[in-house]
Amino acid sequence: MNKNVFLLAFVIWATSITANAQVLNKNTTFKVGGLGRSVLTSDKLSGDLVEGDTISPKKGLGGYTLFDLNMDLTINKIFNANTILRMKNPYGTFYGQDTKFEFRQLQFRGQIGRKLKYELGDIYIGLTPFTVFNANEPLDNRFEADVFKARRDILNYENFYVGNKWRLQGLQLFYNVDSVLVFQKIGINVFGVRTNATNETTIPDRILFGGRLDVLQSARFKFGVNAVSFSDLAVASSASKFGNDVFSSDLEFNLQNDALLFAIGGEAGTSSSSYNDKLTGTSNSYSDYFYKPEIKLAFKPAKIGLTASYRNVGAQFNSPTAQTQRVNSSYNPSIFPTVNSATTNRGAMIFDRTTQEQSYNRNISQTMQGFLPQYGNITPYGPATANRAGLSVGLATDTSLKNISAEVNFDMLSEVQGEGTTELRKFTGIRGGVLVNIGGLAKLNRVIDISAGVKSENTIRGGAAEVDFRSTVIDAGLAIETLKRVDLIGGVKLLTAKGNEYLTTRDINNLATGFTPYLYDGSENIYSAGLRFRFAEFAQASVVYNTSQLKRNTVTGTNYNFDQLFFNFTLKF
Amino acid sequence: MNRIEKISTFLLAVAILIGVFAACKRTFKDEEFMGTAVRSAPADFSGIIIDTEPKTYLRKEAVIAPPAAPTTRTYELVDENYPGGIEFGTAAASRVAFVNEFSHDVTWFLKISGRTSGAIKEYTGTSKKIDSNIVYWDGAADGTRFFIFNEFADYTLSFLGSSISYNGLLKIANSAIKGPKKYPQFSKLLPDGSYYTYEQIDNFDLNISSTNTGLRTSYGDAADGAGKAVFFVTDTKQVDGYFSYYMKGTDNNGNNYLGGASGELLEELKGHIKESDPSKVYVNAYIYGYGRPNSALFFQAFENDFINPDDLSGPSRNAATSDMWFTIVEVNWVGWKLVSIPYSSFKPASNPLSGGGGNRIKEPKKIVGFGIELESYPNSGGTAELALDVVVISTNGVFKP
Repeated sequence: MNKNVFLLAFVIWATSITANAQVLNKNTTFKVGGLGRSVLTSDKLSGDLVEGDTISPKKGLGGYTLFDLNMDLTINKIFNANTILRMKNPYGTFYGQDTKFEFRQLQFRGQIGRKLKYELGDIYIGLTPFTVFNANEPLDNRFEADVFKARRDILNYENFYVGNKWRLQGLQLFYNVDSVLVFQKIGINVFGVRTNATNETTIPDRILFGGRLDVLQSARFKFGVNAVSFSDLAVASSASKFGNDVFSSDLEFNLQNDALLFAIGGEAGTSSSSYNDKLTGTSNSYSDYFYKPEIKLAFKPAKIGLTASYRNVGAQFNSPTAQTQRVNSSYNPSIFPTVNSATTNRGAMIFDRTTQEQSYNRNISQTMQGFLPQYGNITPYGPATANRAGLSVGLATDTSLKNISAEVNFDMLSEVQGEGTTELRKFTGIRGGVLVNIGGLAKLNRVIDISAGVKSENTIRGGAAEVDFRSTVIDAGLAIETLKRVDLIGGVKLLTAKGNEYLTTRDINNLATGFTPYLYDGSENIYSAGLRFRFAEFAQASVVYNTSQLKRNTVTGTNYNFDQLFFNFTLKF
Repeated sequence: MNRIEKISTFLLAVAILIGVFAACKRTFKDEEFMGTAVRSAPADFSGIIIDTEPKTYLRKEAVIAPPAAPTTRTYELVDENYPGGIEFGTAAASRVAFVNEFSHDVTWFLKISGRTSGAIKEYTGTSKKIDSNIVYWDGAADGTRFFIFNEFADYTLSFLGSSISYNGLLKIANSAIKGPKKYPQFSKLLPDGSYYTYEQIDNFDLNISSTNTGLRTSYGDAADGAGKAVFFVTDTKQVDGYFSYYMKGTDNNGNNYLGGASGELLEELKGHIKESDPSKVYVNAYIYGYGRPNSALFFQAFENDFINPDDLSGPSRNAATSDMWFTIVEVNWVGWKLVSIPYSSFKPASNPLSGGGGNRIKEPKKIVGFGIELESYPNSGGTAELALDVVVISTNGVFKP
């Protein structure tokens, strides 16, 4: 029997069982939710890059309709089953040829006894920024225009990005107990997942175990201990064996009164990695550490908070579950993938990174992936970026402010160890923004939001292999409710960068081996405007016109425009 | 919190920190820097200062010694032992060495580009001299395009932070190389999965009796009369190597089917696919579209449901009792496009006499052969036209050239 048909039959069967269970068990509940989305795009490529090119595609239509049916069955507190069945049909196919039925999620969870909770199947795991942390991509910030956030919501949903957790498959347990010795509360979270499946010959199963001990001593002091460990379950013919262990501890101690909150804390830890290549008979292992003390000051009446931290993350600190990037920088877009008479990959630009869900990554990478410095050069791998030391200072409004939100952060970092030279790179950066709800401030019963953000980075290195690379990303956006539930939305994202850098090549051990010179002098911009119709709390549609340009100031024949008319209807209940 | 509690809390925090740091160490803290050295050319850098050992290397190496003065002059290699060009593989250790010494320690880049094949080989290093024992060219190429015989290859030697560069021209004259390197090199394990090339087209008409080669037998639908499909290798366009596989036909009898090609014995893939999960096996191919509507290519995977995939024992494939799975690619573009299709998306054949009578379980390990069909699809009665090159079976990910 076709697998999909079997799965569908199983759902129908489960549904019918539920109906019976409702009669048999008063605690049994069955809830249905879902998300439907229809997307249609009309795309056009123009400019120097494709001028005179009669072979490469320059216009196209695309899109799909999908529906995720979420079924949640609770027998009692011991057992809950949650499934999401997806039906997806791309536009332009015939006879339902490419229509797909698949389980997007299958999860069992419940409680055993009074204290122990479990999750099985598709689970979300997350610990601290240096251990298990799915860091946002460098262009993502909370001051993005609504018109871009809507696209990012789609790619986050499609890639299972919920907060900064990774969605993996395995088992997770939670155990909480109150009042133990001198501690108010102790929580334990452990998990085990498989991140890679064996091919039964050369590739071993890869298992990730981890957990956290969370101790609340009092309202003033808490600490945690984290452990994450990768190991390969090698079969006799395995070509390699990889291992990685990360341990860390974090704590926070605070003092506060009605006017002020003072907190001191931070995180410190160590990593050790090993890789045994059985084909060549070589093996390598190394270890490193990090520490990041932090001070927080919150001025309560003013609703402003100040943070200052110092970090030292070793050059060989290796934490795959915290350093894996969301964006795959080498991804080649599926829209207009080739140019130069269809002989050359176009490569992703800022618009692809902001809108194409396929350019994002769901898997944990054993080694640090490559990145492009114009999008983010200071911490491309998130807070756990290796080989960084220095001071960071931030000022932000309190999250309780509903109508104004603002923050500014300064980074003054350098490398811990030189790359290809004894000279160290020095990084300075400023990022921040403001989001104002004018409708709320003026007590108007309508949406009038404006936002603006900026990220500016500067990287320099002296000596025999000089580096001088500067980049700036500016975000601006607005959303104005012009008619009842009809919003005018618009936004820009402007990137300019100039200078020289080196792209690092890493071996399978995650160690830097070579450096490729990289020159960039140009800009990548997106301008978007459209209308959003909010039919109801659970349904909205938008029509947006996007125009995006890539310009290279020193390379001729490479500039191009990417225009897209985007229609989106989303239903969520 | 009283004073004693505060002190004990503070001591606990300190103890935790000490405990963590006691376990910390940095393995490479004494290394001066990470990775290979990178060094820009200084202001007084003057490029190559010595031509060493011209034309006298005795290990059948063709020594390339660019002129001392920076120039863009090109020349054809006329080594006295190889007047017709470099003959890789004709004798032990035949290779090209670049023997140069520079005025300073510098990071250098050496790039060799095939003019016909588009193949590229690159080297880089930081040194005062290119060590010919370490850096030499044996005809290898980076990526998926390969150098071919009787082609010219440009080489460029450049330096980090300097406008000085040296260019030259090599000729590859190795009759032992029948075109590009063969794709079976992808059968080795790569970090992101493994590849196996089923058909590269370039040796299409060779070794017809071999069970280790790809598409061999082609057949057009005779009922289409004058529109009967034609299938032939052509050198008018190709992704790699010399040839691609051209297909064209008109569906005069309105049955969609135009013709196809498959392995001679349907044994050629036996034992090559080690993956058992259909979602991890991909069929990848370059397809050239001519912009004709209703041009479609069917990929067919033939399983032998009666072989043991571990020791490959069992009878030959019987079409009536083993599965055939297929997928359809509508070729609605102009130019070359790399198409990658997961085996999990293949659909079962419905005719019990030609692949619809197997166990209906998708088992990649039991795939013994592949076939293709040209179809007028989705509408019958049309003229379909396309070309095919480099069919690659990959596991654990799509083929990434």
